[in-house]
Amino acid sequence: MSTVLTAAQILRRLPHRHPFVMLDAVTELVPSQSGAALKNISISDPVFAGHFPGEPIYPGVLLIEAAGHLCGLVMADLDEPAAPAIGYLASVKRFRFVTLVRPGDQVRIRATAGTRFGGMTDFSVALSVNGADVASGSLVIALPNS
Amino acid sequence: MSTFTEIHALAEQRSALNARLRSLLVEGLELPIVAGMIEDDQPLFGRGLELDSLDTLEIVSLVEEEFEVYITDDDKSVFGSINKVADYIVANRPRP
Repeated sequence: MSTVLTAAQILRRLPHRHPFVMLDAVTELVPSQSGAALKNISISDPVFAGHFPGEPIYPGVLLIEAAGHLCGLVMADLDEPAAPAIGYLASVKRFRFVTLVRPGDQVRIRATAGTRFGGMTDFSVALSVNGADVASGSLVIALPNS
Repeated sequence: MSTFTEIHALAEQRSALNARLRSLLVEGLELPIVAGMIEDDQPLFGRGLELDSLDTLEIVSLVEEEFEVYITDDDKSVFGSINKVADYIVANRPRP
């Protein structure tokens, strides 16, 4: 599995900054169509201070956010833009979480673009750890002025 | 010149298409109404069915899956009513 975009390259393509930098690497990218990315879950992530004390479980809502970042990269220009466009998470549909994600896990995220209309794109996303499904669903990303 | 039988068949096909569209919208958008309550020329957005821009994307997806017709960004008036969506499908669907 090769790296298509490093963490530094992702930072130049997405507007998010700490504590909302979610992806460690992009391993596949077909602009406007699909992509795959990795997210490493570390016990040093401050979110585990509260979710939950003594029982660290990575929040599902942040898995959705991470998948949204990959969708943004699929929609972004292939060349590094001067100022990354901000995409808005417009809809979360039919999301299901089947396995807990814990520190030490490496989450593989896949996003595939579907219907587009009026600056909005519907994505199917799937997340897995060691080949086992952890979550899946649909996200709609809206790019203003597109 | 079309015969009465041909015109009657066309009218029945159109009626069936509109009925299928009404069901598709109610089921696909999970609208809390009975499909038969939607009138053919009732506005779908604003003060009509009160759909929003996210519903537009869903309608594009539903129409593509059901009729193999892709609604483009070019003409948003397509979403004016059931009749307008049906007109677009009739004009753009693949010929057998």
